[in-house]
Amino acid sequence: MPLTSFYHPEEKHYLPINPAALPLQILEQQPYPIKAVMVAFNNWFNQWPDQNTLKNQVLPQLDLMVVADLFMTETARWADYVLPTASLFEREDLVKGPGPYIQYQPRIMPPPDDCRSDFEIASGLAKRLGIGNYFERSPDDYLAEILAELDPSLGQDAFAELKLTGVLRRKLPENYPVAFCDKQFQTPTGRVEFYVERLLPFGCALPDYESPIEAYPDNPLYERFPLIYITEHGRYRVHSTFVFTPWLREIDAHPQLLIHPVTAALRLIEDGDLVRVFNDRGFVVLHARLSQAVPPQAVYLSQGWQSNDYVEGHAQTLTHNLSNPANAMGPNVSFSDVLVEVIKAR
Amino acid sequence: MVKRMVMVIDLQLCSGCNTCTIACKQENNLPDGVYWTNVITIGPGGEDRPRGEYPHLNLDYLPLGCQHCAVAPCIEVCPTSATFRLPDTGIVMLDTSLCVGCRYCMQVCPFTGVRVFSESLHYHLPYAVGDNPMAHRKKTVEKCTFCAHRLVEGLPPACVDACPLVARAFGDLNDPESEVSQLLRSRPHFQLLADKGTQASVYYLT
Repeated sequence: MPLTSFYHPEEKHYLPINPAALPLQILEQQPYPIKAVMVAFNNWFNQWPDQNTLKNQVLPQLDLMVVADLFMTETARWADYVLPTASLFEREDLVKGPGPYIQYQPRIMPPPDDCRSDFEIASGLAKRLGIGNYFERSPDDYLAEILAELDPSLGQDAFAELKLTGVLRRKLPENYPVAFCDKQFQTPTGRVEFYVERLLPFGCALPDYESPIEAYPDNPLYERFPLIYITEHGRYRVHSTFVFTPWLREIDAHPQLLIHPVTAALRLIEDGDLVRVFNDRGFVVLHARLSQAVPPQAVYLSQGWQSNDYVEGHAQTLTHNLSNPANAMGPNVSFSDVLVEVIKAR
Repeated sequence: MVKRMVMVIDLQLCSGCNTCTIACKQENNLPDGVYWTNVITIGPGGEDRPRGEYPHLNLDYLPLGCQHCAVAPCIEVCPTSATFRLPDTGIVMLDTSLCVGCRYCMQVCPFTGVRVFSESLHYHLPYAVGDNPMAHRKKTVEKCTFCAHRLVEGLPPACVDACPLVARAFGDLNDPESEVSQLLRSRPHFQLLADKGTQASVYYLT
């Protein structure tokens, strides 16, 4: 996990945009028009819901999309420019964790020709945009500054020490990591709130059952799309990271739709058959895997596969970008509140 | 005193993650599709499919590799002595430079899927990985060596080191104080196909 701390030159802060809200902000040009997107450490065209809207409506709004990545990801395929970046073995960084530890990530070897680290890309870009003065020092200096900002008690020489030892332990509160042991809660009342006044405008100040946005039996859509589509985390990937790793692909070769044997039998689907999963938003064609591990009302598909891993279509064309307005975290996306139907593909 | 190196695998801990499978591939530079250890799912359903009916399910895994039997029929039948026992540890080795690919060992072994015979060898990576100096040869048999090349360095097999749940232990059964001896004293366990009388050196804790 990268450090959450960020470099704030002259107290200047970047404006965070909730990534889940970004497609809508591009579409509605609010709070301002976004014309260029530079993607780093992300594969949003593969991992974001409602891929057809992304490709057919959001992307045409952009004049430029640049992707910096190690691999030809789904997102990179749709970019105007792809910048090959240095791998984590080819650049220096800090790694936070596990627990109270901070690890030093040394540069083991230089990147191949023409590959640059993300820092070099950002600083080079900043120079041409006229803000190069914020990137003039070496990555070492900035890492030392980030470390000091993260934990001022570590002292001046902390980074030099960390480079020698490879790992250091942060000072932590006495009762760490017991959550809420001081019984202080970050609520307006400072107490555990079962009645949340902030949620009064949304009609959900008290905990109560509320139907999901799409996947519930009383939804009229349920008649045409009677299966709940659940996106699960694959065991051999972290989202779409490692999807290109050949050794792992030997074990987990291609995407499979997990479907209960009874649900499959009703649709004349046998184990290993090609099936088409679809709703009004999109479709994907892949192999079915009959399993008692899933309930008869739902189908499961592990996420992270790229479009060339499917026989046709993409799983993210099935999902939607709607979220409950009461969500205190801001816009979020649900990859499991989705209705679909499954039929045998030719 | 002669050692008897054994592996003890805790089936209550194994989650079937296949980290051992990949660690073995990396340590031994295994060609594509070649495994010296992997994880099989217990039951008739096949890989990662639970037994029972939803929602009353059981899912259990069994890491499998060469059992390094104390009574090893593979050694008896090998016409070129390619399969032999390391005298000081009891590990059953297979020297691919001596193997002629007759596959008698595969026929006589009571365990399926622990040996690999490849008509041709391919590698995803353009360079060799891991520390096992053994050369892979096409049309020969190969199998788990209990990482004998690591043992001489005082290291446990790569799969034991890599297991994130510490489900695998490795050590000398002839040493009553070793971790494996203590585990076998304190926990119920079994050996695969004990009725065949090969005295497997892999023990499974239940």
